[in-house]
Amino acid sequence: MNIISNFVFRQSICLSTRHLLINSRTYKSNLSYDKLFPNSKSLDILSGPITAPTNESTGKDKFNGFIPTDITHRHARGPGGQHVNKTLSGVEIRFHIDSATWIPDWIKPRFRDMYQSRINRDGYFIIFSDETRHRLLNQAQCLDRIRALIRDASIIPKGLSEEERKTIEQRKQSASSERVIR
Amino acid sequence: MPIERGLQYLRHMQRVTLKNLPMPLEKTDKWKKEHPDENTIKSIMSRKGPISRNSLPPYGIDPIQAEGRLPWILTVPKEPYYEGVEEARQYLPISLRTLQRLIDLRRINPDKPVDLPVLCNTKLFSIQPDQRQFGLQLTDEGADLFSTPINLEIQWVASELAIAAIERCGGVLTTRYFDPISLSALVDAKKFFERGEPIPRCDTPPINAIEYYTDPKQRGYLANPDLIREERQRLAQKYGYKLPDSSKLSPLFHLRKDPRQIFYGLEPGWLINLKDQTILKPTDNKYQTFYHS
Repeated sequence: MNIISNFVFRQSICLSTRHLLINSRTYKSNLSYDKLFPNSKSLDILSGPITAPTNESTGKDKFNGFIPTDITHRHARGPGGQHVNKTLSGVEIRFHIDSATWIPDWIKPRFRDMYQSRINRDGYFIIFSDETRHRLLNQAQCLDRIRALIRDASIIPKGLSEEERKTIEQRKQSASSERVIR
Repeated sequence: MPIERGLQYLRHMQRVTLKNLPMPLEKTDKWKKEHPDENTIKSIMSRKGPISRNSLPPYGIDPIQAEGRLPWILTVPKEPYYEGVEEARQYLPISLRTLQRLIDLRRINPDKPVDLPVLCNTKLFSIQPDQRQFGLQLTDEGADLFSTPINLEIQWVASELAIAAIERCGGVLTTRYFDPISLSALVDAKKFFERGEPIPRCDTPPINAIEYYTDPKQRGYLANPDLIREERQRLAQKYGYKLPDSSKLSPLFHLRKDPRQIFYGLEPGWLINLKDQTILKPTDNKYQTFYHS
């Protein structure tokens, strides 16, 4: 009897603590979050509106840095014996350029021109990293490189304006006229 | 004309000697004593020492009183290797690898929020608040091995990789400051309740720690929740994983302590009676205002 009553008592205590934890009977001091941040859109860390890009950029816009994350594939490389053979800390990312919707269309031909050496015969862009000992860091490095390469490809040089062209022409003419006289 | 002047002296003066005659000021001995020229200065000064070698001591030091040497307080060198060690905060390290191991061995339950009393109850860490130790810090060894979602509350995180490793598996991380009195209550909770003291109210962090605990990049508990959400998204894009859907997580993952609260579910000011299994709450107005401020 004693044992059973003890068990029942403990069970009720467990339930009540869980109830305490989840219940909305919360303690609010002067430093509670709704007083510290009265203007925040949502006090929950996990859910709420975000201003950073959460979706890929559509065909015509500027590249906004968002890469959809289901394009990774792991393997290892280099000396190190049993440890390097067993642990898979290298990261390789491949994606097909033409069918990638997250790269704006006007960047794709420039991208293909600039980075021919990284592109496959089938049209896959390959990048590999095994520079650190952590898989996550190598993954971060691959993605960072992809972003940097796409942004480099998206820079179009400004070109010369009409006035600049005229001044260059004038300078050339004056130089050549000096030469002829002499 | 000077000849006229000389004749005038002869007419008007009783006696004319070398010492009587008026001379230009610069040729009198009095003036020469007060304004010695370069050669006399050199003959008076010593031939050695910093003055003769054109290297005087730095500003603020009298070269005559220093007698050609630097004062003692400048000759003895300063070696500040351990400067500030008396005020520095210490955090004991816990790696992601040990965390995963404790979860696998079922010494920690990941379904409930994991904070300092839970980790101290494993008896693997001996935190001494009187030795300037302020809790635990998360290190990034074992970032690839970690694979359970947990709601973790730790005192310091130094590397972004550790934060990313936890959020990748769907967990939540917050960094939280506890002052030494609250820490002694948390480290051995049962012993604290047996002492019979009311639960303390946690202080705000010291000035050199406020910048850390209001930083969303370190997931500080005083940081703006909007900015923390942005940082979660930024890390997810940087390290290449997808943030899980927040509605599928249990409500215990959304749970967060108030900045003055130490234990989940217990308010500061309450007295816990373990023997009679009761809680005593203060009813006096001044205690209530104090513990709710």
